[in-house]
Amino acid sequence: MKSYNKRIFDSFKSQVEDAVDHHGQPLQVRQRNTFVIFLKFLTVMKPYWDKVLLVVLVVCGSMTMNVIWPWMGKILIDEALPDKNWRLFWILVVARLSLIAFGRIMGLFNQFFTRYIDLWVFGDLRTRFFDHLVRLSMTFMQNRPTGEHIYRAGSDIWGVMFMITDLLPRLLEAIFEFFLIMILLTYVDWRVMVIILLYMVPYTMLVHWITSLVRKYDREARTKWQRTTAILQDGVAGKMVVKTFARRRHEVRKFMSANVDAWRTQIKRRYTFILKGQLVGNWGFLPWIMGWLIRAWFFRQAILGHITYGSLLPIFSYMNRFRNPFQRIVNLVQQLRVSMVPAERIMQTLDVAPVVVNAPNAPDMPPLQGHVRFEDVYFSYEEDVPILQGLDFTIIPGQKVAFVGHSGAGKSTVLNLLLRLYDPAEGRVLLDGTDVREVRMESLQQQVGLVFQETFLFIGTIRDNILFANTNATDEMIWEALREAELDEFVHSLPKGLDTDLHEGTSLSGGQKQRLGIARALVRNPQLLVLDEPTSSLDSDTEVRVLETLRKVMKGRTTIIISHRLPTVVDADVIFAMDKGRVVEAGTHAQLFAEGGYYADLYTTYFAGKHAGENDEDD
Amino acid sequence: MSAVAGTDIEQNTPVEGVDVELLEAGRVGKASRLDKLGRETRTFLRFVKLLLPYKDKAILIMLLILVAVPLGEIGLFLFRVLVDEVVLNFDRPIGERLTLFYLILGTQLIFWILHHGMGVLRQIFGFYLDMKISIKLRHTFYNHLHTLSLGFLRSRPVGEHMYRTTADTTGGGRQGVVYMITDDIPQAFSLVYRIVWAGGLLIAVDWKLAMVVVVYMIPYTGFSHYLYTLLKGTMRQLKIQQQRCAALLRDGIRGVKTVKGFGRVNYQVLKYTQQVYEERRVWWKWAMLSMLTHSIVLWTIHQLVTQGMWIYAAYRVMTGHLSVGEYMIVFALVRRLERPLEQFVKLMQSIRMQLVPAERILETLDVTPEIVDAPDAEPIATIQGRVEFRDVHFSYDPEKPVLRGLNVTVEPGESVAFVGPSGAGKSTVMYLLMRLYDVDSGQVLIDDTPIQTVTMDSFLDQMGVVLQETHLFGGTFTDNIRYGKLQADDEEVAQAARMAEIHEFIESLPDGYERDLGEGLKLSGGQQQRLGIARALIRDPRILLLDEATASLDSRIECQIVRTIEKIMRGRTTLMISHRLVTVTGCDRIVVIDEGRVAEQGTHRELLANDGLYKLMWDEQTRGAAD
Repeated sequence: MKSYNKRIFDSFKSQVEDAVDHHGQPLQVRQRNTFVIFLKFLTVMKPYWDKVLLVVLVVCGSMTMNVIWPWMGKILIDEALPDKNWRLFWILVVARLSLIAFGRIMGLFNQFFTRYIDLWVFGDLRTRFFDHLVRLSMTFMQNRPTGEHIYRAGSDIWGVMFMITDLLPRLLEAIFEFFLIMILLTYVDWRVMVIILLYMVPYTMLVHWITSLVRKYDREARTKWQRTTAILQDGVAGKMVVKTFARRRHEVRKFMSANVDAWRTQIKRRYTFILKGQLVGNWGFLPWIMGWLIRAWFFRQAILGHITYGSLLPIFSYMNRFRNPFQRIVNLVQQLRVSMVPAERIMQTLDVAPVVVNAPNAPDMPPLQGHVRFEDVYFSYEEDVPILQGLDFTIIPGQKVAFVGHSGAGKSTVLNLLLRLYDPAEGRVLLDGTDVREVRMESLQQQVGLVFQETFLFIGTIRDNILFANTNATDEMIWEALREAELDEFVHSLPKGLDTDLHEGTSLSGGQKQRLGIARALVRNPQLLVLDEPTSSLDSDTEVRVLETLRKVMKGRTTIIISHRLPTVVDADVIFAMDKGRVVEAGTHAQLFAEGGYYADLYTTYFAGKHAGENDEDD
Repeated sequence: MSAVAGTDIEQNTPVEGVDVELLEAGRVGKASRLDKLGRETRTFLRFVKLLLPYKDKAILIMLLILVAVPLGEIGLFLFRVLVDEVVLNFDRPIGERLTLFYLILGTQLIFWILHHGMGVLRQIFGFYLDMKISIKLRHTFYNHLHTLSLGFLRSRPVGEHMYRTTADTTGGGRQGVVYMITDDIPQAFSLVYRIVWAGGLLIAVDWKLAMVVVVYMIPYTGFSHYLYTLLKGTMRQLKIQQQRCAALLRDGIRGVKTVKGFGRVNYQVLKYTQQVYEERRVWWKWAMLSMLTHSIVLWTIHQLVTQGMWIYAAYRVMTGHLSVGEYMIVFALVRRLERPLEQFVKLMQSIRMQLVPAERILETLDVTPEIVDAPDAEPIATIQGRVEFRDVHFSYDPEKPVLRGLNVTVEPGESVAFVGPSGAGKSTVMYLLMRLYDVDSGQVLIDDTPIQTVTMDSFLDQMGVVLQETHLFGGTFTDNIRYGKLQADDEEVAQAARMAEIHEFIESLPDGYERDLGEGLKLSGGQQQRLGIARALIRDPRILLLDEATASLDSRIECQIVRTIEKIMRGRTTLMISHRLVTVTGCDRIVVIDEGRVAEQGTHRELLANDGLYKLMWDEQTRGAAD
């Protein structure tokens, strides 16, 4: 385990160092040449070069041995059997048996090392990709659906793996065999060799044409199947609508006609497969007729007495194999082209440099006091859509501060910048007087207690989920946090207590989840508590109760609350009302309400509902 | 799109093209001769029955196999003749040998073409079966799925229902039940047939050799199966590890904001890495074990026998019992016997594996829809809009009653809001009115007709429903609004959008109503709700149901939508649920539900004056506003 960790952290280091070079550059996806991608992926084999070399040698060795047997067969047929030469017979038997045994030993070597390289490279690739991915900016993560990232980190890597550890060796093997047999066959009868080489020109062209046809229908069919799935997903996910609008027949018909349509293309696609198999496949017409003609030619030679029957054995055996590696090369190259697609997708992710990274040799953040200052901060997620436009405020340790405002005012962005999920475009974010960019971000983030609108629960037990925030926490500290979050009784009531597994089956209610989130934040005993819409996803009864708990928890801690639910914020020491990326009003609830400005307006809309809306026709 | 149908009247009758027999065979109370058989066989046979309508094609496929296989075997014998009679028979005159040679060549060519032609035909018929059965099975399944209760649909994630509809029936890589029927069965037939042919011919050439093959193949197959079970445990461990890896990966990516916000990137990466390495360790163990069993133990046994046979055959040639030609084809025959035997064992395993998705499909298919139209149900006449709940009792779980004697009457044109603490049964009231569930006792009446006595579609068609989250279907704005009334024309669509106050927004977009919602268009929560309202309004419903229609919006948007809703509810019976009391103050009547009964009812003012549960909730929600 030790060495694993060391290797991982080495790779972290190089990752981070790499990233520093790109620091500050905008996200960009470079267009790469297929060959470059290919070479880039080959470099993952580098740490295992000695084993790779061994495998290559073993494969070449056993292949050379394979060509020996047909010659022994010739001797058997031509000399031993007709002449009843028992001595020769037994020599051949022993030679064959030892050849087989030796070949197997080589094969085992090969299998052992190939497997090793397979698994180790696969492991490296996956961990490296994941490591890279989670360090990328939130913008990158959120620009694509979660499923796509998962797909890339899972299936696509499998695809690339398949390319590196399966296709590639097979390709090399086939190429080697191709040349070996070509030499031998030329030695037996060079005219046949010339004919085979000539035949390969139209053959290759044909393969190419059919493959492009196959690919065309492949693509078409895939699009149609995806449409079918989309319709299905729609229908199942929208079950409430389908039921309440009585639209079952409509949905079923929609799905079926998509299915029928997809099958139409699917059948065409399969016809192209038949065409491919029957014409150029391993047992297809062209290869067969070629073999048939050559066979006929040699048989005729044998009948006419130009060669012995036994010498047909090595010839046919080589010919078979010759046809084989050549087809294999053609097929493998096609497959290689297909598997470049996942490789390219992975490169698209790997090519993006993390934007928010630690400065070189950044020191750790000293224990937090809770003094927060935003100095004239400008920020935007996308160009042309400014979010923060000169945000400026100060929070004094021990204060309880709330940010309110309409959606889109930039409330949550405050949190993103404070926690350094993003860096500001202009201005500074200071914590206890230190620019957050000058310290190691983990050391800062780990001192903050954070509660999100939706508490994300990780796979594992309740304990695992709390330890996530503070890996050093003792059971006592966990219970203390649960007590503060007022979840201790519930956890006590569970048969397995802290060890209750939270996987998808066990359902916590919304309120329990939020309380667990609060316990997770508290187990760090943080000086700074950041609550991002902590009760917005709860119904109003639960909200009231969770708020009670939060009020107790906030005592003695610097607290930042972001919320559009105003009951959450009324008792804050300072309320910052935000609009269009700035603080427009600041003060206690009573002050702001008396002022009758932006906040008061927000407030009446919230509590008086539509009646306030009616007075205010211009919004 | 096949026929945009208008109203669907009979909910009970399945859509055309559904396999009723498959649907009903597993229902409780349907006795059948199959019951005596084992569970797996029963499942298997039920799906095989899908072939019945296409038995002519299936028989044709079998016939093609019957003819094609011997052609291949005869080809082998031609080869023997070629070697023994033509090439090595030096006594015969050369001209005769050459004539015979050309004859054999020609026959080979003809055989090849026949053999492959029949193979192609077989494939084409196979495709036809694949397509027909796949469509029918999916159709049956999907139709059935939508007749099942909301409770069942919600008991499993969306992805699982989808998986059963697609991958379990006909998935990628020829996985799925349909391929079990259309591929595996003919395959099994062909293999058995080939084994019989190759075995028979081998006996004809050298029966002792044939005996050796048979005698050794049986224990060999058994032994390899035994070794396979030895590996199973490790394989299972590996599967578990792989699942854990995938789960951690998903976790890390889904929860990335939490991971980053908590400064736990390194921790999460380390956790994943350790899991990957753990998985790799098990994988390596498995790889080594399978190398030991397959590449060493099994291989050695296999080689001992094959090489023994080779030496024996060569020995028989030396002693003059076998000709050289026979020696050449004996090995081909042995291979032709061995390979189908191995394949057959694998095929049996694969069929057993395919039974797992088969069982999964049946698990859903055999659930009897609970809520169906009564056999004598008639469509309801045009609704006036009177709704009555008469002593309604209902529970999802018998231990936890939700409604306990609810009595509410809503007069035509009245707007009524249902409020109450969470868990009081507000939403249940709506569900019962829409007949998503049936009452345990009591009655739900529309215009004094119990809804269980009329066809569901006929009254659902006259209701408009807006839910908390509006599910938008793939397609254009028009498609989504028209969903409420499939035969509506463009003018009606625009009219509904105008009433829902979304018309201007749609018009302002590049393609207007024909804009595809899927393509990079992000609608705000308010816009989505307005579309939901338009969808409900296009049917000009007599009864409007609003289930927390504004709960997921922020307060500014909420109050705009509430204003729209107040406009559209004029002249319609409206039932509304909300936990935000400020949004319902404008209703004609507010019904407070607590513990499954009506606790109090009246207008906002009356209820406040009443100083009951409503007053309590109001104060709690507006706390702070009193300062």
